[in-house]
Amino acid sequence: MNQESCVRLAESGRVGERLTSIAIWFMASSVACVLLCIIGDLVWHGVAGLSLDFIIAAPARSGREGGVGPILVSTFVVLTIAIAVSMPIGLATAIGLSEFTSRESRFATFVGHGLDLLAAVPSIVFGLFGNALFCNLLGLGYSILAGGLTLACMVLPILARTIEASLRNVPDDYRVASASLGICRARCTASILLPAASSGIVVGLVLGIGRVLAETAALLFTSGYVDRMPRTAMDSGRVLSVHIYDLAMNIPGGTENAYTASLLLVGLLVGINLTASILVRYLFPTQRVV
Amino acid sequence: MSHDSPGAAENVAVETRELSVAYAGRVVLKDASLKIARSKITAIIGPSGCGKTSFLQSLNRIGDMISGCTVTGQVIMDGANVLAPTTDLIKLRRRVGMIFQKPNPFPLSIRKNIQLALREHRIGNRVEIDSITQRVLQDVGLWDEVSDRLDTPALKLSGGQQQRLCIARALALSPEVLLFDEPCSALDPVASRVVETLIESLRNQATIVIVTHNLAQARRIADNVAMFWYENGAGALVEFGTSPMIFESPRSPITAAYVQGTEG
Amino acid sequence: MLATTLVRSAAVFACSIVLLVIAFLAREAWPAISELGPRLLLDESWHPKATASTGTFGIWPMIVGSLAVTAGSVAIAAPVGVSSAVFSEYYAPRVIAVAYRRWVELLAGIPSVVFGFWGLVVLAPLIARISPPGQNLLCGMLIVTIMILPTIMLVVQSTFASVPRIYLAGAVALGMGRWAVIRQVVLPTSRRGIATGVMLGATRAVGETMAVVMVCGNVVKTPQSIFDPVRTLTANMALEMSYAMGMHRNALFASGLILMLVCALAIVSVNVASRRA
Repeated sequence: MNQESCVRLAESGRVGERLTSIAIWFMASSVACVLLCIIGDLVWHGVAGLSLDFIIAAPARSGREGGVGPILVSTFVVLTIAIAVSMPIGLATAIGLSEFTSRESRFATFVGHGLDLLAAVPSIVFGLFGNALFCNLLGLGYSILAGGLTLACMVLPILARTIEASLRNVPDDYRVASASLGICRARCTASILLPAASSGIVVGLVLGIGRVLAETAALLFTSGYVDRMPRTAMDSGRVLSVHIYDLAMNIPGGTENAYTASLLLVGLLVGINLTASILVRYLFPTQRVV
Repeated sequence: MSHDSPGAAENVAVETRELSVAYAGRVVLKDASLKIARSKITAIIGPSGCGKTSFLQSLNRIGDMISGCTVTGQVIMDGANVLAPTTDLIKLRRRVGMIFQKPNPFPLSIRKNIQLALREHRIGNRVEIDSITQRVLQDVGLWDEVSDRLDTPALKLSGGQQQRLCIARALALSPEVLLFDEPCSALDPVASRVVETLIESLRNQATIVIVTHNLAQARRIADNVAMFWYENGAGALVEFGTSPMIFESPRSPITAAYVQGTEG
Repeated sequence: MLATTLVRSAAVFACSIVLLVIAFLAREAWPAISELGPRLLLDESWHPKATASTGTFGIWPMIVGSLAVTAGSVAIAAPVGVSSAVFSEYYAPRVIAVAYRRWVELLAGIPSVVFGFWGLVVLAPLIARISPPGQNLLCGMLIVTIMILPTIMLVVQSTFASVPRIYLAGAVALGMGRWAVIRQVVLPTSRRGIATGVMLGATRAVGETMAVVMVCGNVVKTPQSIFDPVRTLTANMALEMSYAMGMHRNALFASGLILMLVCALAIVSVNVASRRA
């Protein structure tokens, strides 16, 4: 029986089976409809305001008018800091877990638990933590840097786990062949395994980026609310998700721009995901994606 | 190619006519036509990749589970073509049971393994179900070994016991045909012998079709033997005859080479 | 050797961040825990001030709020999520199954603030027609349900996909129909995976902040019906952190610590359960 092909099961024609079939199809259609409603609503109300002007201009009248230019800049800087800090650590952690320790060792279990716990921490708690550590103790105040560092902590477990999984997915044959040729583990990892796992690494990166862009609560108390164009990373800055929150909750009349900003954010996320899957399919066609 | 079943007057349980199987367009078996005699053991032999398992899977249409699997030709049982889209698959699989290469009892108790299908097909009331359970376990020789622990997990049984449980499970539905896909290849020699003896004893209860790599086994238990081989990049039926005929005086040189161990 | 040290240090650093988080939380929460102690649960209301004596610090209404939103959303999302997984794995034709899965993955990627926004401007007004105002427990439950549904469905579906084919083949060969195979073989075998998915969804629900801030009404009062507005622990922190001082701030950190420990407990139990598998 071919393991890769999808399974088809025949119905028995009994009434119970027919009814269940109808119920399941109904349930699935409802779920699909709800999503359609949400996306549809976003597109319907948001697409009118979406324009190049919106993307570049600064917000005016507390965001009721104008665009999200400076906000996108802040978002991008926070993203860059978060990924730049967490990627090397995550990569190293993943390599350490996958290649340099045995799976049953206490070290691996311990680190694994730590990462899982870190992934389970609610985002608002990260916000409190970031506030206490980066803003207060390290004196960064409300700044993009503090926000980026906080998000780096949040995204780290996602990167580490995904890259670890994709490294484990690489067939052992490569490691065995490399060992029999006398190639040391570090070089094997760098030259053979990491390239072989690159599609999984890209997936992990995309997941991390998605998480950063979607994050709001952790940034409320770390990077702040200021909607002006930031001059340095030490300036306070508002990211797109926080902007949507502000427009929706605090600014009467901000609903229109909130819709447009939401559409922009969702569009960005979808765009990144799509680009990544196309990239993965064309750059690494032979790899088994995690 | 069409071959007469040995002794054409014998009762035919299943007849295939130009049965071909393809997976996602790639043909793995081409035009297998043969008549499987009732209440006899028919062995299907040949090297790997010649469509033996695909042939077997077409008889109870379990190949339908795999998307991309297309079966053409005819499989005639009781005058009706099993491959027709209107066939009631559930009824078909009650009449044609299958035992797989790797024993696959459900991760449930021994009792539940046997009774699951009985309840599903609504066969008998509780008393009858229990007596069927005892009967089939006795038939496969497991009753003495497990009667005191029917509610313990089936996965705790040994490989041979698990395979006999799977046979019992299939027997509970009183099938007319039993399909065995290399049932002993995952078992140690002792368990293998026990299962083989059991299969032989089932001759009176059902028509048996067994795919096997083990030529000695085929020689020991088969009444009729079908030889499959590679032809033009796909599996095909090369020769079909009684066991003595195939093993002692085969007509095809391929069969001769295979049974003597010089090929395959 | 250098490589080994490097990667091991990175790993140690990575997993010690969580210890750092707990340490900082505990540090800021300590004054509240030591001075207020059981007052956090027993005080009759939440009117926090900068000093322990001038304010009341009862977080019980918020705990109930969080529990209610979580329980309600899990109660809906679990069966719907499992059904969706069953649909995608066994009922839908290949093309539809793939599209459905992509559609749900898209849902999973939508930020919580967008869900909250949609709830605020579309769902809340709808609920307001039945019982104004529309921002209440029901609204929160429904929004969080939509948010955790993809988590549950995707975990459960991958559990289904890893049920050994040989079990399915055995059941099919015995003439069992589709729903019979699912009910008798797939679901019992997948119990652990389903529990994991539901637990992960529940953890996500408990930690959800932005969406509940936007749609739950944020009134500090133990809800008597699903049409009452509630405030969750997470919303409480989000709304008051910016101006909280002294004991007020400490109390907020204490509630954060409680939340963190609940989530940690949930994850540890999931890990322990799956390690035993």
